[in-house]
Amino acid sequence: MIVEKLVLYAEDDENDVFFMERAFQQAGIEHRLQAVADGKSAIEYLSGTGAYQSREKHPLPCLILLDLSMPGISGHEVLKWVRSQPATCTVPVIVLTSSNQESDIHRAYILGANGYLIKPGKPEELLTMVKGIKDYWLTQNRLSSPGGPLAQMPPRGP
Amino acid sequence: MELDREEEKLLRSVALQNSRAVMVARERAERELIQAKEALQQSNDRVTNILESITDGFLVLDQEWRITYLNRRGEEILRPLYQSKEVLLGQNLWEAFPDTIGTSIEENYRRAKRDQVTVQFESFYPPLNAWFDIRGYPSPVGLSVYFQDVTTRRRAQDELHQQHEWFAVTLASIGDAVITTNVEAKVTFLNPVAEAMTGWKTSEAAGQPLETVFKIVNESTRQPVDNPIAKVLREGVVVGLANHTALIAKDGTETAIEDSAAPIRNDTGEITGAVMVFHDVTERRRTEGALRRSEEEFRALANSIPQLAWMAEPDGHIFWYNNGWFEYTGTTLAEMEGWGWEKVHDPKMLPFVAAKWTESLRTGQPFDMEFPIRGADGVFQWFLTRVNPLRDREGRVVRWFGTNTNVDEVRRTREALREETRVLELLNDTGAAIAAKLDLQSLVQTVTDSATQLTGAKFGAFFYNVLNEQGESFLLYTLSGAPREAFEKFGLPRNTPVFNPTFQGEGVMRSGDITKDPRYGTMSPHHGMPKGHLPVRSYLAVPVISRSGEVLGGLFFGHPEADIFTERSERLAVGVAAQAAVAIDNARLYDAAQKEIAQRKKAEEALAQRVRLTALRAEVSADLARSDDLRVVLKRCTDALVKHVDACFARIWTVNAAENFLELQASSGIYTHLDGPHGRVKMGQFKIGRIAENRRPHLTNDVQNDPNISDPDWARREGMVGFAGYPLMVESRVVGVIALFARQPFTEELLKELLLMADGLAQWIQRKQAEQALHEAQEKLSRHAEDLENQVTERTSALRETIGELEAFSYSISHDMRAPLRAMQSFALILAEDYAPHLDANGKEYIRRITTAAERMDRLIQDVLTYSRIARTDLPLVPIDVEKLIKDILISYPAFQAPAAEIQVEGEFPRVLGLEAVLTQCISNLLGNAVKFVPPGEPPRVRVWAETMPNGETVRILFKDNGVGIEKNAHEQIFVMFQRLSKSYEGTGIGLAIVKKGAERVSGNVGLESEPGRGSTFWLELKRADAPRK
Repeated sequence: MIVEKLVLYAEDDENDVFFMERAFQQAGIEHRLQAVADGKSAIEYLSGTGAYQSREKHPLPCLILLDLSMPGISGHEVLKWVRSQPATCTVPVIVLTSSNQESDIHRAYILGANGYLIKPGKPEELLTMVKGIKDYWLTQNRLSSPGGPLAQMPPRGP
Repeated sequence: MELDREEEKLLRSVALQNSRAVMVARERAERELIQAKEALQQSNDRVTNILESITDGFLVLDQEWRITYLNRRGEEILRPLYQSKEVLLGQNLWEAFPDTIGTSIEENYRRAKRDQVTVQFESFYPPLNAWFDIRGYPSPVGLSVYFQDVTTRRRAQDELHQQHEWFAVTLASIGDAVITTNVEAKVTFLNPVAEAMTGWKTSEAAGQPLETVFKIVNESTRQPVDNPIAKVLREGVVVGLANHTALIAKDGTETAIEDSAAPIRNDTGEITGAVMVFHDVTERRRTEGALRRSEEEFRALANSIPQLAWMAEPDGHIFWYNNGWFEYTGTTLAEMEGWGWEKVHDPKMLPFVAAKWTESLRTGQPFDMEFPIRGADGVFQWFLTRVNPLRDREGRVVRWFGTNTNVDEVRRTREALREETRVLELLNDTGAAIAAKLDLQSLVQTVTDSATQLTGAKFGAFFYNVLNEQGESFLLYTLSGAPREAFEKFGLPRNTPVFNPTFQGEGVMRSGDITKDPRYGTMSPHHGMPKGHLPVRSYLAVPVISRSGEVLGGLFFGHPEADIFTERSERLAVGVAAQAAVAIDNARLYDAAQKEIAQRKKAEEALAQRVRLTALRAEVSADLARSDDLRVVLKRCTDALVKHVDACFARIWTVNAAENFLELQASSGIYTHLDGPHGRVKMGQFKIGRIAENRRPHLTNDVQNDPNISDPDWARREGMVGFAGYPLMVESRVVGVIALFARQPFTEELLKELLLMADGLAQWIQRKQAEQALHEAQEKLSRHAEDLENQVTERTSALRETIGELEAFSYSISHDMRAPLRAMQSFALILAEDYAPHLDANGKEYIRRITTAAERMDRLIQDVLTYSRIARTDLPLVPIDVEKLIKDILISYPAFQAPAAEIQVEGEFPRVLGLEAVLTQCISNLLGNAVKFVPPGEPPRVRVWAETMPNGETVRILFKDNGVGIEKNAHEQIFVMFQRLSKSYEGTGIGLAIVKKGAERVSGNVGLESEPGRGSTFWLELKRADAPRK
């Protein structure tokens, strides 16, 4: 399975999207950054519905960056949905939010987040963070194919 | 292709014949016509009846060009122009036919008259759209004119001419060489290709005998070859050249050719010549030669390979086999040619092979299949057959090459390997089934069943030694394939020569027929199998030997027929025996472990019960020592009973002496309600009432069959076993009843404990009842006060809710405010970074100010957030090691370390109650202030220590600094949010508000002692973790 070079960024604040795009560029990340503005769009993108019906144009991401406070469906709910779907349950999800509330952090990990990052205040701090994401999540980290090895194994019988 | 060329050749020759015939006929016709006309002229032109009957038009002109005569035919020809000759007669020719003026007609007529010569010409006359052959004869009266419509002939002539041209061009441009001869076989024509190949020009070759120009010999024999033309001319047939013909040109060069000759016939079918068409086949001959050579090489090679090989035509007709084929099958080519190979195939496989081969022939796809072929010895052996097509340049199959490789040995090996794998799998499956069992009885049964099945035995038995509780060994057995009764009457196998080797672990015994074994039947009294024994001939016995070498038993298999057990059966039996040995070892170990565990458990249980009863006593004593409400205390007691003695439920009733009934006061376990039928029990009613009335305990470990039980169905349904009910007595007075139900029997120890407990309870209840009366009086008084208190509580909680909402509001505001602020900050930084060259000093300064302002605002918001978070924290307080906490803070911040600051942590710090996050925040802020508010240039020095307050319950953590100090009247103000005393020191004005809120949150307090210029000592007062509870 070829893992798509695409990062999905669910974020309602377009300024933050701008900063993230800039940081991706400065960090020299070759992955495409696909931003979606709310939880509903994130789910539509990942399930290939709504405006994202073409899997070719909108392949599954190899990493999801997820804001928590978004209008409508919250980041936590998106995370819960992502983990409930066979196609996306193995995709790493990093929560990226301005909330450092223990309850938010705890809930994110309970729901299966792979990381929890606080939005940095300054572009250079964001760049440092993005480089970290690049080095670890986009370079060193090994991904699992959607559906896992069981999906590719022939059914077994006695 | 061949046919087309043939056809073309034929057409060509026929066309040639035709044209020739037409020309000859025309010439002859013209000649005859002229002769007739001459005769006619001579016989006098006045013979009008002749004139009228001739087929030419005839016209007479006088000296003045007037038309004086026109015959019938002439009239017919001219009718499209003039209705009758009457109109024409007497008219001037040039007036009647003005279109002729200036044409060859006028010119010729005038010449004939002027020069008195006969003229003959052909002319096209447009008004009639026709060609005319016109002859004019001068005469004394004028001019006689014959005219004839020759349009048809004229057009045919034109076509012929064109056709002739076309053939000439065709012959000149085709790739084949063409030579034509006349009927005497003399050359008449060579086309350019023929000229080039023979070296003769048409001009020099014309009239030469064909043999001179077209010299041909046999390529290999060099003998002249009969010229085909002779045969063509003689027999009138189309003749092809013999194979391997070479043409020798005029200069002696030689060309391999191939072609044919055909007769040329005229209209009447008479042969008028022959045409010879040929072409150069040198290149093809070379290719054919190479193919033949490579085929020879192939055959030689194919004969030398170990495989069988063969070749087939595209249609599958096999025309050649290598020697290997004939040697292996012992057949001949005559038998095998075509589809003869089917004879050496297995008839069962043949339809599949034939179908697949036919399919390959149809599709041209390679063939690949394994099937048996019968050898000369009549034995079939397996061959892997592969057939590949050889294709020409157009992709058509021209040959099939097949090989048959003997794979019999390979298959046998593969089969053996499969068999081996099957055995291993069977053993493995059995092993898994055996290993899954730890219970010896079912284990040995599984072993016996599996082994009997695997070996193919009719019946099997497993005799094995077991140890009883006393450690003595004795023999047991399991059977498979036969009922237990079949062996029961024979007792155990004795130490006979047949059985002994197995029980001694000496090895496997396998016999095709045990009754013929010399060891068989040597012992009395039976001399063989006892009467009624199941018949055994095939015999297999395998000892089962443990890892330690001990013979655990033996597996015995029997079958009424001889020679049933193979080497494979033996291997399987040995395999199962090995696995059984391991499994039995394991099962024995497991059994021993189980016994050990059971003993240990018993001891542990006794110990645990003692511990629990002690705990029960302690808990009940503690409960009774407390001055709580009667029901509360009794409930704690029943709770403790349920908890410590595994009672299903426990209840306590007290006696209401005035009304003579028992009132249920406490119930714990599966029933906790206090109403219901047992809520009020009359003295003497139910077993509870009887216990109270009789003042005697009722104890049983067989509740379900106890006649005193009021609802035995319920007891059975619930699986109740033990019941214990004691009257609670003070001296001889009953004050209550305690009763327990349990799903297990009660032990002696427990009952003793219960009896003790009943005494304690009774005394306590008596005391409590006395207190109760007093208490009730007091209660009336306090009720009024309570109402008042409730009102205050309600209002306080309403207020608290409002505050809570406000805090939540401030949190969300602060949180949401940070996002745009961060954006401002970031864009300012990006602006400074990306547009630095475009900004002057002022611009950069403004951006710096935006950034500074944004950072300050961010700090403000963060502090508000911290404040809000602390305010909202809703966790129970826990013991905290303050000293460690302070030291962790100091390590984390460089500002608290030398040389930035000198902070001394002194003395002992008792553990306090608090929340780590809140205390960390408070202490960080206090330390931060301590090092911040120092006079410029002065290094901060801070002392931190702890003092337990005189009440012994709280402790103060003190932070003494060498800072600027604070005026007394500002001591309250500094803890209010956004209050700052000096603009000289950076800050948000929230730090101390956070400390105050934090201190309140952990039920503590904060304060200070300070004077301007003498430093400040802030203190944080917290509860000691080890303080006694109130």
